[in-house]
Amino acid sequence: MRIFATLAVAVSIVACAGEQDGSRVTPDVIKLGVLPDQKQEQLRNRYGPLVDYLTRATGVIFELVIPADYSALLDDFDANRIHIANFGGLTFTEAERQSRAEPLVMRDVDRNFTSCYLVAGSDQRGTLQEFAGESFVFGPALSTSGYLMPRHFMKRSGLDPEYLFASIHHSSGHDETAAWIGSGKYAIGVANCVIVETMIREGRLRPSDVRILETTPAYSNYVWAVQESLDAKLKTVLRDAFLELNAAIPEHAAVLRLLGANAYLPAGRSDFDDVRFAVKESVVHAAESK
Amino acid sequence: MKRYAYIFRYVYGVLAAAAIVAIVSLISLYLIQDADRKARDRITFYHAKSATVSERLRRQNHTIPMLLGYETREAAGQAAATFAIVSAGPDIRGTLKMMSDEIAELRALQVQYDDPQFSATLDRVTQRFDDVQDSISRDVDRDAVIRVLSTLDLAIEQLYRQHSIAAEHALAEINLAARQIAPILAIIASILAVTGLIGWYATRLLRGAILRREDAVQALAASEERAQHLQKLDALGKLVGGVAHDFNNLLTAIIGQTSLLLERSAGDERMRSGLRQVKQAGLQAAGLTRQLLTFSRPQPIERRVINLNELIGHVEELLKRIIGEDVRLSVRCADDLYRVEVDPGQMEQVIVNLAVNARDAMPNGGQLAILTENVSISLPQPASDATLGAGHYVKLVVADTGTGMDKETCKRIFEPYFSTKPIGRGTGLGLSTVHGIITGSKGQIRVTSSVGAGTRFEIFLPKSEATAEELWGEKISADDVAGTETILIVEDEAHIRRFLDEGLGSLGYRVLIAPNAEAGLDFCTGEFGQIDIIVSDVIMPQTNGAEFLERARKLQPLAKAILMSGYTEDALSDAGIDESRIPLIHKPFDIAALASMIRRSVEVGTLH
Repeated sequence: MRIFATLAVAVSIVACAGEQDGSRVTPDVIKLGVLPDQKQEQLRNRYGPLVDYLTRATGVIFELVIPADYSALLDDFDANRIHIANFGGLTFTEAERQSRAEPLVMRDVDRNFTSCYLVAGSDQRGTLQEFAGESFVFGPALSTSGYLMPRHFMKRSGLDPEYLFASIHHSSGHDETAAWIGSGKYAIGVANCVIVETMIREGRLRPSDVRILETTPAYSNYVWAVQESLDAKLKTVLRDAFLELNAAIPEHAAVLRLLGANAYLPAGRSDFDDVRFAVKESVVHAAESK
Repeated sequence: MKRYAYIFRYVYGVLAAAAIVAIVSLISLYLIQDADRKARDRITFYHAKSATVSERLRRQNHTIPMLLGYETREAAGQAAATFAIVSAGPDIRGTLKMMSDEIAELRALQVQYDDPQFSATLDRVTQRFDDVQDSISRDVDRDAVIRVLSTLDLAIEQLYRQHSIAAEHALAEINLAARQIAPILAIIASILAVTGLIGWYATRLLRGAILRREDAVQALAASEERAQHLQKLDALGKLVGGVAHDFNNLLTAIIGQTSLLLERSAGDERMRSGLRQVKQAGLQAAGLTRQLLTFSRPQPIERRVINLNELIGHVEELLKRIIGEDVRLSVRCADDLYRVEVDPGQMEQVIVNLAVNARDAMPNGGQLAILTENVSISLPQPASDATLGAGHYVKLVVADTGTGMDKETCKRIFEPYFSTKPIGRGTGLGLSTVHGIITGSKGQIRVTSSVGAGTRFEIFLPKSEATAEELWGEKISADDVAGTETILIVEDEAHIRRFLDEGLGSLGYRVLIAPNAEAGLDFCTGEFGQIDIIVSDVIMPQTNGAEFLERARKLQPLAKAILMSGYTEDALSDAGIDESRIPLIHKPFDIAALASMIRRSVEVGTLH
């Protein structure tokens, strides 16, 4: 008898080994969560056409969910109340760690995200090192492009901002950073390049006031991620619906324009290696600071 | 062992189960490794190849603007021109053909790969490529061309990324399996291997302990049985001892009365002959009784200085009876043997014991040799012989040609209760007693043996400087009957010939031995010189003593004659023998009796 019991244990171990954690959940309504980085109404306008498009393209009903804040987005995703969500780089790594979020697609621009070091338009200095001893402005401490990644790349190129600069400051957002540099409050700062370019394009920032000193290497930032437990076929269908979006087709072009994209590309976990590393680094830094 | 069989069944069951789990774990490990290898192969083959083809396709797509006349892809945006495939050169058509081939190859890979993940994307690449061809073949503006080229570029990148992501997933699966399952299985297998080894070893120890315990139990039972056997022997010994004692009293009376009667019946020879036989039988019975006493109960140790040869001579007949007809006894005693100080009874026991063992070792017959010799040891002996100091010893050898013993048995034979004989046959005390007697006599006993070649006991007894005591009755002084005359013995019985040869020879006579009358007459031809006395048997095959003497006297007229006979006087008369004319000696006789008759014949001269 003992032999059979032991055999049964052995067989079940092997059986468990053979069986992968199956992707087999197919919800009736797919809840689509977004980062609450704008007012609800603006978010509805921005994502509404996408929800309609996905519903039409996949034959599955999509529903937009707008969480109260970033942590609510993570909680809802973790509790499976959201099936697909648009995360920033930092929030994605958190969702990945917490709930094994699986990256699905990203905008063409997301894979080449950069941050811009801003200095006063009149400043003649040409490199970061020349600003040693000045005060430096980062974006919010939880911002991927305003703090996490620029700091990571500085460290990677052998510059320690906490050591290089006289003081470190945090703004409440990218436009505030740009404004502070423009007004001469601080000598140097870093902000999301897309926002800086938009501000310049829209005339909110004059090149004579603010100059781009240099840009960081490219990194991945935003990503649409799904529950890993979703049915594999549904994931493929969902991914293909995004990938089908073609700027040449007028109705697709409208959706893409609202989302700030030219097209969507498949996203993988390795796209966020840099971000993941930067997060680990900043956690270590935060622990050391305490 | 049977009592514990269930434990071993259980333990072996557990060990077998452990072994099975370990094997299953190892097989699973192998299967996982195998699956990993296959997955890696798949990734290497399909994803890497697809990614390469996609990359080539993209490069070809990037060359189109330059083929259309733009310096760079970016420059194409600034150029203002319309063009059609018809106006384009063969380079463009060649590039488009190559792109078409690349797409066909991707599709072929997709078919082999058979994964729906890539279908839609591949369709999209094909569709966008068709758009490119379409836009180039029609007259369209530059923006339209750049746009379709970009859309194809994006579709290719989608496919390219999809492959790298699929590869990433597959590798992650492999890593996950390897991380989660493999170490667990490896740990299970190693734990089971270790516990299996420990279990196996523990089982061996347990088994050994149980076997040892059973051995001890068996040995105890055997020794109890032996003790019972000894008790029986002891009781029997007491009984025999009592009977032997009473017998001795009776025999003393019988022998004493017979001796008296022998003296009183001097004239009546027939009576005397009968009495002598009675006395002889009585003496033999007394000897037997003494043997019984020797074995039945411990005799008080009474060491005396003796010649071992005499003792051997005394027990020789007894030994012959003990060893039976199939075993030949050969005794070779050294002359001038040193005297030794031993208890004669104990020494007899030693020889008899060794003879009994020899007999038991030779169930199909063989040879038992008893030898004595003087040895002198001058140098200290090797460590193993440490008990033998330098000095003079008598060496007694008792050797047989029996089954022999192995070395282990040799080492143990002197242990009390050690016996190779079936239970009930041997006491296991014989050789230990022998050992005790020899060491008690300041001697040493050694044994050498090899299986199939027999056993040899060597006993060393220290030389005693004292004079030997007479143990077995009065002897006629050798000087009174010694002589140097030449004596011819004619006797058909070999034992008697030898006895006479040795006996008379030892008294100094020159002895000629003939087994029959013809050989006897040959000695009388003069070739062997003057013969002083002819001793002949009365009755011999083919002829009789009287006739032989007549013929011999013609050749040796000076020779005197003595006849020997084991028969009654009536039989002699029938054979024409007149005892009044020729001296006659009756068998059995001792050598002294014959020698004194010879001396009388020589000195008195009774012939004629």
